[in-house]
Amino acid sequence: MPSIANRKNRIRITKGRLTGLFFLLTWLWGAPLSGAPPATPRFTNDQGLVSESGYFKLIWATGKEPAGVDNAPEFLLQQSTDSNFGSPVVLYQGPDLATFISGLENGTYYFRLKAIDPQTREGSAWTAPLTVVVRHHPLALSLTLFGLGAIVFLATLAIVVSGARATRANQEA
Amino acid sequence: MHFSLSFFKILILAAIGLMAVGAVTLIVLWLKDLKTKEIW
Amino acid sequence: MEHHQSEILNPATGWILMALLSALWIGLGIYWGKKAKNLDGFMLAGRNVGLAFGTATAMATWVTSNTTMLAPQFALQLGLWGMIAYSMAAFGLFLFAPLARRIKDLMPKGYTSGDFIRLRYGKTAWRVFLAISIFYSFTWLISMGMAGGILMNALSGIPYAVGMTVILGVCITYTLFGGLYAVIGTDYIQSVIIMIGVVVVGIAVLSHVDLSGVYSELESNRPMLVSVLLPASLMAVFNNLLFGIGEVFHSNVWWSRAFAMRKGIGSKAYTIAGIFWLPVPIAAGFIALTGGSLGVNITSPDMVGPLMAGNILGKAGAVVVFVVFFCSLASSIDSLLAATSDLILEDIYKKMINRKASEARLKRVSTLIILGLGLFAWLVCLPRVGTLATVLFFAGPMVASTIYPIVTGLYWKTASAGGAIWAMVLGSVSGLIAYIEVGWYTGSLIAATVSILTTVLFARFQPDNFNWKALDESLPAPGSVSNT
Repeated sequence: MPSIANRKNRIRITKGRLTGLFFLLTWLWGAPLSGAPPATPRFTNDQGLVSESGYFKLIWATGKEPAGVDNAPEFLLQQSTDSNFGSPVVLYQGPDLATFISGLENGTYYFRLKAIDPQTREGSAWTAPLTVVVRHHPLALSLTLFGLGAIVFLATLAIVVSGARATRANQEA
Repeated sequence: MHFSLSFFKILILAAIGLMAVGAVTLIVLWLKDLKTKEIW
Repeated sequence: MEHHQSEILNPATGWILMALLSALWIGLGIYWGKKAKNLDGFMLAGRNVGLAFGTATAMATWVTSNTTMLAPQFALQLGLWGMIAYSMAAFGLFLFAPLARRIKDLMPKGYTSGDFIRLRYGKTAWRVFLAISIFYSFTWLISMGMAGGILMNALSGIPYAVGMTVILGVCITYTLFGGLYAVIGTDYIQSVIIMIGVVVVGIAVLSHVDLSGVYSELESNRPMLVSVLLPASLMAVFNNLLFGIGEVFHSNVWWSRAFAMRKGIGSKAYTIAGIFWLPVPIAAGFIALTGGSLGVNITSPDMVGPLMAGNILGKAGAVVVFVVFFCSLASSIDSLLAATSDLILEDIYKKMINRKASEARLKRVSTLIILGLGLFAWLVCLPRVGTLATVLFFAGPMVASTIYPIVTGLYWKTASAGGAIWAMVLGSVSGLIAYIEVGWYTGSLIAATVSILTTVLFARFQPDNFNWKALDESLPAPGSVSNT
């Protein structure tokens, strides 16, 4: 299965070591260093996304393909709670162009993305971080609506049950 | 505050179990109706 | 959606399954259709349906593509509460059980829910009600036609337009031949298949994943999904319950079944159907929560159910999933076609256009309406716009606003036409505002709240004094109809 979000493999990366890492990667894969790295992809979400429910979908597109590259690129998506990606979590690595995220707690989350050439393992530069703010509906509002719903439901139940009883009593009389 | 693991497990197992009972019940009801010729 | 992963079954298997299921339903529809000798037979299966078929048809119709697809989506978006919230829709069936008995008592010769509103509240309320009910039926029908195309495409690579056309075409064909006999007969087989299918998939998934592992992955990566206090979910619980009640109470899909079941059966059938429907959203939904621990990327929440089942269970699982989806779609599309065409035939054609139509003519018109409905649904489905949830959920506030005009209209002499009309109008408007301003998970709740207040206030301060006998059109018309 190509689409594995390998959360256990937390990779620590700092910007300064990025280029070095690419060389290291390509060397490890034994691929030739010829050919341009894939173009930097871009998020197609708008900046300043706010989620009140803890779920949202990240979507992205490939950057402009360099001439002569016809491999469908892979993408590496990282999430972090700090804008410098101090301890990023790998959310997804694979060819899909979107991922659905849910269940997040209140906070600000940063996402960044890069393309990887599946043959040479060469990676593009990281995108600028995409910021998503998760701010759940106030608990007071939700509990109020929950309570209101319970009252309306119980009232409905009462109307049906008492109505059914009264009509049955009528029929028996 | 989180739902507990045992709640999570019981919820799912109970749901699947109840559905299995439902499937059997539907078949039993049909056999009963068939016997008394009261299907339609 | 365009971000999909590759399909799970190979297209050849998909085509074969689709052909077999289509042939089965059409064959059975024609076979059962032979029982439909007159209009009552065609529209209401002879008004003598027994407990087994009665229970199964209520069950199967309530298990739609929305249960099997949207329940996993609810689980993924709203967590444990989301599944429970979806389950709450079973209360629509539970609470309709006593109503079914009352309906059969009051209107032994009735045909539609529109009949009830017209006789109970007069023409203005009737028009508002028909507008809401027909809008709802269309959105439901269209969302399922689209779901059919999307599912078959995602599962087996059959092109969207082909899958959508086949599922609509098959249902139209057997509904045309067999009317409600075909609908209810196929519903029985479909509900048995759905229940066994979901149980098999559920057990197979449980044997592949460890629930403790799933739980701990959720706790660390998606903590709000196991939270007791996820705000959006808390709001969704009663919203969904009230949406479900609104759907069942007003829709002719359920009324036609109340009319079709033998006297004394309706109440039992709806209660049993509710009990066995209750677990379906949980048994089908929890699969969505296994995505994280299995490392499966989910691109579209509305496809998470089939995607996970296919990923975990491989080819054999995908075959079961394909069959279950085909059944859950067919069992609802056929019911909607039949009940909506009844509503249009009885309430619009017979009562507004041609009051003196002969039975033969009504039968012909009914055929045309089913065909027309099907064609319309097909045309709207073809461009494939909108996601499943948003299309249907827009109807939520509107149907929730009809709950109290229906319930109080059935039980209270004092419920009035003014109350019914204002309840539907104010309820729908305020619900839609909440839907847009706060979120889709509040629309039905607000609509129901406004509707209950309006209905009760009118009944209290401007009470009607309704004569129940006016509801039975087979009796000679009373000297004066008391509704004003």
